[in-house]
Amino acid sequence: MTTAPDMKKVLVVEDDEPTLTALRTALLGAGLAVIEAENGIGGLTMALTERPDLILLDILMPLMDGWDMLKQLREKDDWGKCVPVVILTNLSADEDEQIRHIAELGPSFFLVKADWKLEGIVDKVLELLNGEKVPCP
Amino acid sequence: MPDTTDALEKEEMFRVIFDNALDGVILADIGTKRLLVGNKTMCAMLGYRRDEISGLSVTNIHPEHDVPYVLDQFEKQAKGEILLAKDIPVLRKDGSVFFADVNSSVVTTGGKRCLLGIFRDITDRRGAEIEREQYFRFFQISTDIMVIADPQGCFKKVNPACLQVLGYSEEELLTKPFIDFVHPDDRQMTRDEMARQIRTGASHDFENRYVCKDGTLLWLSWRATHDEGEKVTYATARDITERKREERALRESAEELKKFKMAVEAASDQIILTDSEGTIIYVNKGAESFTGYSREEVIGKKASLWGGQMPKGFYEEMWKAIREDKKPFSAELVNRRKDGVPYDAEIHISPVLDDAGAVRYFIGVERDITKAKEVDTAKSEFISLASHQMRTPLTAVNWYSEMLLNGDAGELNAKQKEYFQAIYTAGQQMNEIIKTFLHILRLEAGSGAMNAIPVDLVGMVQSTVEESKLTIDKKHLHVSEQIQDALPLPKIDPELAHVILQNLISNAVKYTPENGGVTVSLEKVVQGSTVAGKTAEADSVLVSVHDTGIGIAEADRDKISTKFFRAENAKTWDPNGNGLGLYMTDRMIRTARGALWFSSRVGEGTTFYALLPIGGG
Repeated sequence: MTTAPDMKKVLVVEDDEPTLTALRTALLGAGLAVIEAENGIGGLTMALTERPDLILLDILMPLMDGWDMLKQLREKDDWGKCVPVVILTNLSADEDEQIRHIAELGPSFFLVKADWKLEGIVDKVLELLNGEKVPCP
Repeated sequence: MPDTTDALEKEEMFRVIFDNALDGVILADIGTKRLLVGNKTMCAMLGYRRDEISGLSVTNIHPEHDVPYVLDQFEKQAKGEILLAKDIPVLRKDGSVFFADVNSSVVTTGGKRCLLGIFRDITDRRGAEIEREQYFRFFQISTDIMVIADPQGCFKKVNPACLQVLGYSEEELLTKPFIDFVHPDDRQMTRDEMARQIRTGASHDFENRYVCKDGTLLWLSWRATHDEGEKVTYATARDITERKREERALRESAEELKKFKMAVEAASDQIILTDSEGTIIYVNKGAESFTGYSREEVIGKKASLWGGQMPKGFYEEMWKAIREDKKPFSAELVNRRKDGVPYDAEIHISPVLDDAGAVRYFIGVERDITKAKEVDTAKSEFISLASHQMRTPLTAVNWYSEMLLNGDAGELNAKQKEYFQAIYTAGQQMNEIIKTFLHILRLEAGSGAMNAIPVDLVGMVQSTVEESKLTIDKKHLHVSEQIQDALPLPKIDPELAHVILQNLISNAVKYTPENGGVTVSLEKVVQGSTVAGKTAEADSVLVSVHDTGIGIAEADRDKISTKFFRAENAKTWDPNGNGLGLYMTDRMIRTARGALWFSSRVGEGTTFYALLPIGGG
């Protein structure tokens, strides 16, 4: 996929095919470049090689889940520490485990897919990409 | 002179008889009442010499106060009206008295009418009679039953106590075999006892039950002895019904206590009894196996031996509750076994007060909930997994209808638009239902993070009202907010706070007809003050949501917060509700140690009040 140099690049890490397709469609529609992975292992490799501007990350995935991937990414290097990540999941943010991970790994947002319209998610992504650089977590 | 010789011999013979008679004989002048002569026996009876007697009067040989009676008898005998004067007291020279029966006859000697009295000392006989009389008295007044029975098994004599205790007449008791009055179950035993009595002749004690005239049963404790010579059995009995009852009660309560003790001992929970200072007096087996400390190691010590793992404030709160407020205290905490391994426990401590209301003991029950905690964890893991599994396909439904409605797959015609809108709306509803279920599961499992942090209710009210904006606009509702200045931020899980506000506000919006009004107010309430009929137990924020809606009927008041309940008017108004909203709201508010209540009039409106403690739950 060729991308214009000024196009922002978003990595979507998502194992559910219909979800991935919908996200891809919406992000492309918003003029963003999209790269994809189906689990944490693929996502980590893709992130480190492609260095996207933002990562949309699912949590429950086979082989390596989203939190593991993010943990390794955050520990990898400065870029990994700072890249904005939006957790996009159907787990609830009010569970102990999620709260612990959120506090530790500092994603920009924790969005429950079923609670959000595609439109809303794209808005959040654009807001992050175009907004002020936030300090690294 | 044979005649003279004869006369002399006769006189001598009379004297011999007179002097050797076993009875006392005395001759008294009827006219002067003087004693003329007494025989040897009479002299011995009275203690006078023979020559002394002839100087005495009848009145000298009887006690002074009996003299009138004696003289009366004397006169009667002199007139021949009576021959025998019985029980006459006689005064000896030494002042002592004896009793005599006096036989008399009038004789004339030397031209004088005299009374010849023959005195028989009846002291012995009289003593026996008195004794018999005394024994009879005992027989009469005894409160114990006394009976004499014949070998045929009938009472021959019963005392008044027997009649009184058993309630039968003497005739009833004497005419039937006594065994008939004995409780059927005790008859054989009673017969055996009687037979043994007769065989051995010794006294025997036994107990049996008698049936009273009024049908009540009495326990009698008997002592019986058989007199082989007279062929009768003497028996006494005492009513021991009360004692038996007490013994039984005592036995039962001892039995009961034993059971309690066994139950306490065998309980798998640990049970601890301490004095008012918390010094351990007793621990059950459960406590030993629980904590790893033996009974000997903990008695006399404090429970902090295996506790003390919690923050200081926890124990302060606990002591305040049980010692100052004298209220039971329940909590979950972590303790540590003797071997150092920590365990999760649920404790309930109750103060035991004396009559004056002072704490005497504390009873602590502690349960190891380590296992339950594990189950809880597994349950919440399942819940989160299920939530993920259900929400994933739902997300696809929602997002793809959203894309279709946006025209991402081409322009839709009106019908298509309408149908996809229906799918989309249904998907949203489905998501709300899943969320509700998840909240309830979490609340009921009592698990999940209650992440209590200071929450800006003002902002949350505004955003929550915004969520209902579509309906508000469509129904032209007038929604206003009344916010008190400098409102403190209550500590509550933000998710809980949001669901609470969402339910209260969306209900108000849902059940208010077009052009109606909804007012959301937030104000601070200080501890102890009363608002809308409720007293705040702590400094709190009061959320009131007032509407001009359909109202809640008085009959539904108590049911409104029960699971799946929907009021009739609410069902008519909106058939789609699930009856979980207020149930969940109520549960959540209680989790936050707050209170939810309302006032309402059907057709006029409702105000819901939610009190949220500032200090959190």
